[in-house]
Amino acid sequence: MPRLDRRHFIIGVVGAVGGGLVVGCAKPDRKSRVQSFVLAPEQSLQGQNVWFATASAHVDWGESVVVRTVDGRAKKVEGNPEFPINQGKTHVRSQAGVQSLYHPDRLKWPMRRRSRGSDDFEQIGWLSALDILAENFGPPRDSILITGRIGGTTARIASWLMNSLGGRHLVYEPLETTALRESIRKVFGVEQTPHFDIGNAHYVLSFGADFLGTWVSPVQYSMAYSRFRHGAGRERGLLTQIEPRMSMTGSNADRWVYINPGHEGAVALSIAHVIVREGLVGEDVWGAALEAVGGRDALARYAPEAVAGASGVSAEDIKTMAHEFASHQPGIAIAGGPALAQTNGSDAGAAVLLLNRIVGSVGEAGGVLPNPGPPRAVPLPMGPTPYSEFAALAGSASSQSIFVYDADPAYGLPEAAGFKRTLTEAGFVVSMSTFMNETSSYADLILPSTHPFEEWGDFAVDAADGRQVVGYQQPVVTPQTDGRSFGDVLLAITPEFTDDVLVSSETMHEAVRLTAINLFGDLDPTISPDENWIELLRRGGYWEGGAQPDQFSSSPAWSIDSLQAPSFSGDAPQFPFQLVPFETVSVGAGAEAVNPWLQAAPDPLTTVTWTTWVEINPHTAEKLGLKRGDLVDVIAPTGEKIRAGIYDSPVVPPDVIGVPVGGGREQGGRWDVGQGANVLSILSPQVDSATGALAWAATRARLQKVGKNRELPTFEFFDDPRNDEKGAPVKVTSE
Amino acid sequence: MESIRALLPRLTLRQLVVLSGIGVVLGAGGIATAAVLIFLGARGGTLRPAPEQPIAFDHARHAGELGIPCEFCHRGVETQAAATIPSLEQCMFCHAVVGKENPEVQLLAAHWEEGRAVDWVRVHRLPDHVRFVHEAHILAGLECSTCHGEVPTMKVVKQVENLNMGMCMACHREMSASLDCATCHK
Repeated sequence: MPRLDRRHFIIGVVGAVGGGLVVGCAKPDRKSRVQSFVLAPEQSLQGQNVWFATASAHVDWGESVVVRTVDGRAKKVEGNPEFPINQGKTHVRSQAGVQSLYHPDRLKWPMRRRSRGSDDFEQIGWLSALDILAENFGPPRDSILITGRIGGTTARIASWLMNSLGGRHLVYEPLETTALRESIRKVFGVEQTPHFDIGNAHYVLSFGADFLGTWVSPVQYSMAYSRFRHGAGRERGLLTQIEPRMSMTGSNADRWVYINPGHEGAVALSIAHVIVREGLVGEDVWGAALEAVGGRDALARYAPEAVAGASGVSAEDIKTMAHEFASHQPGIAIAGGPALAQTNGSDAGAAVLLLNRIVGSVGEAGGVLPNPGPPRAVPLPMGPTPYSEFAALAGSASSQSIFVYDADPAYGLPEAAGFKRTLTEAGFVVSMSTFMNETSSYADLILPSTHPFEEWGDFAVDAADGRQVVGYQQPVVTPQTDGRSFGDVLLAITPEFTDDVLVSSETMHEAVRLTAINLFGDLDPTISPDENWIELLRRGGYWEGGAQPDQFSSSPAWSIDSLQAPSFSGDAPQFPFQLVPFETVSVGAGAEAVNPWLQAAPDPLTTVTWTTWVEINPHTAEKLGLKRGDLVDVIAPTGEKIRAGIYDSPVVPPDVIGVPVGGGREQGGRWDVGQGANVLSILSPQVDSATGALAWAATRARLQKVGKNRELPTFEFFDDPRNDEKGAPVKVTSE
Repeated sequence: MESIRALLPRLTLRQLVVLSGIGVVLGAGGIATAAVLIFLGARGGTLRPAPEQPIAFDHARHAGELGIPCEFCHRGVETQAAATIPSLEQCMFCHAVVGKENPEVQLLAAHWEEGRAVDWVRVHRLPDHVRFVHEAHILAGLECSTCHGEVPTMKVVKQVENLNMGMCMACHREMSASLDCATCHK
């Protein structure tokens, strides 16, 4: 380097400063550009927020959201503050609506498979796709429509199509709630889920119902729970949770009681036994109800001492719960999750719900209240079809044409159901969805459906708040793909099969609008029907009216004697663990796994993200020589197995393993395929004896060490007492 | 220290202080003079010649000869803050059929076919701290030409009014409109 003398150094500095001043003070380039839209979004105000009320994209219990849009782009989802079910709040899954809307792996156009068994699809236009659908779906084949729990105008149109074809409509729900619905029918005599008035209750006795996380209508119940715990001017409500694996609701309970799976009904009847025997509630309250289900004699078998051994719940605990429940009225007894996913599930559910009649909380504020039912033109979401009917499809697959919409039974049904073989052998399979899924990978024709933020619709809320609640769904953006809504596709093909006109509209927009105007067009007589319709859209729906108290049956239509002991797949010595699958708050039963936000949202109890884990008691893990992150094969009696990492948890009983559902997708988007394992696939086809529903918590399993350890991606750091970030696992995606 | 002194002329401390004082006075005076001259000479800072646009759209042809009202294309002008640039779809309502032999229309059609937005160069722009709402002004009865000049005579649109604060204030006074700062300033 040449030697720099002072003179040149000063010249250099002056030059640099001078140059900087010249450049810095130069006239800035003020040329500003403005882009025109190619297609102008409807109703946008350039550069300003426009909010639309519509249905949540990812929950099915009836949640209305408002979506903030700017220049035709959806930016953020918030709860609809006026809608009674969520009152401005949202479930975590609802927040991901904008992410799935702009997901890069959405199906973009209709596709036809070139030949069966290959993955070779060709892009086709909608006219060809509808022709193929109309030619192949109807006679001479048996038409079978499989959907998720659709409701409202869409369900009416679907039933019009299937009645025209003489086909069957099966409703698929992965962790089916058939047993809950059956038990409600038996005890209260209604089809609609009643209003469990948790907000005004003084006691909640929950048998496995994770009502703060995933059960029935968790956002509504979470808000009610807040009032239950610390509402103004009332005493703090008490929560007891009885379940075989601690759920999020269990972690919030005042008392958490472990129970051997399948014995929930017996323990509920034992609590009833104590209340009746000790006269904790007057006979005038429970006399008629007990007589209707078999009387004192039927209840006599369920003394706490007799139930304690098999159930794992001590007689003392049963008595304490009976005393607390009877003395803290109004109270509510509910059942869900693994309690009802047993071979005696619906009878166990009836036994639990019967407790409400025993303590007289039915029809009372703070107890179980009836819902008034939906308007006839906007039916409730359809209840799930029992598993046994899906399994029966295998018998005559070749003569069937199967149309699957918004459901993925090939992923969610156990391998033992043989549903994939049914799809392979079926005469024609068409799948309609927003993303590829396991079922669509077997389809001859794939139709891209619009995202819920791109379609018209209406819905009636099943678990309403004692009022008639109807919500409306409207497009908040123009479609991102060449997709169509399911309702529009049905309206296009149904006239091919019938001359009867049940729905005269040609589009869902018209069908929903006309239905709404017929129902609510004169809601405000000072404005026109069309203005009433706009007002419904602005508010997000209609919620008025109350139920008649006599909507419940006067007495339960059930018998205590029908409750049987549970049975399980796999014998205890060979399969020492009770396998309890559970739904996580964010990923749910698998359909939401496509959203990376939801994959990355930690499970509330374990903080695990992105993968599947096996919860096991720490002492059991130690005995087996397993530590956190050790990979194990979970092997079911069916011979099927999945591989996942161990998570030792002190709130898992010694002979239970808990595994979340929703992982292990083979088809979908770039962020869910290959993440975790699918525990639903290994379940044994055990069914609830009364309904044929899948008893998804009645399979036993054994563990086999793999000999490898893979650190679980969690947000907690037990290894470090200071709980700092040392050793924190970080999930890095390949994208 | 000795080495730095060697570079400087030999001055007494008194001479150094006097010279520094003169320097400060001259410097401050110069900056102030320049600021005043810039302020007095400013014309809103946005009055510039007509820019070259990516597609040579002819306002004189559309708004002048054909008599298409401004709000037919600038559809936000009566309903929102921005007058809005029309979407390509709107251009193609006519140009799918009309003027297909015109090379500029062909350029437009190419953008439409490819689904590619046109990067127009903005002609009128107010500073970011100003909130201007077209809707309020049009509904108050103002003509577009009050601010934008006789666009129907312009083959290429350019800014003809300086659109500075003085112009806004003068008009607001004349029309008895609000003179509150917060009416226009964010």
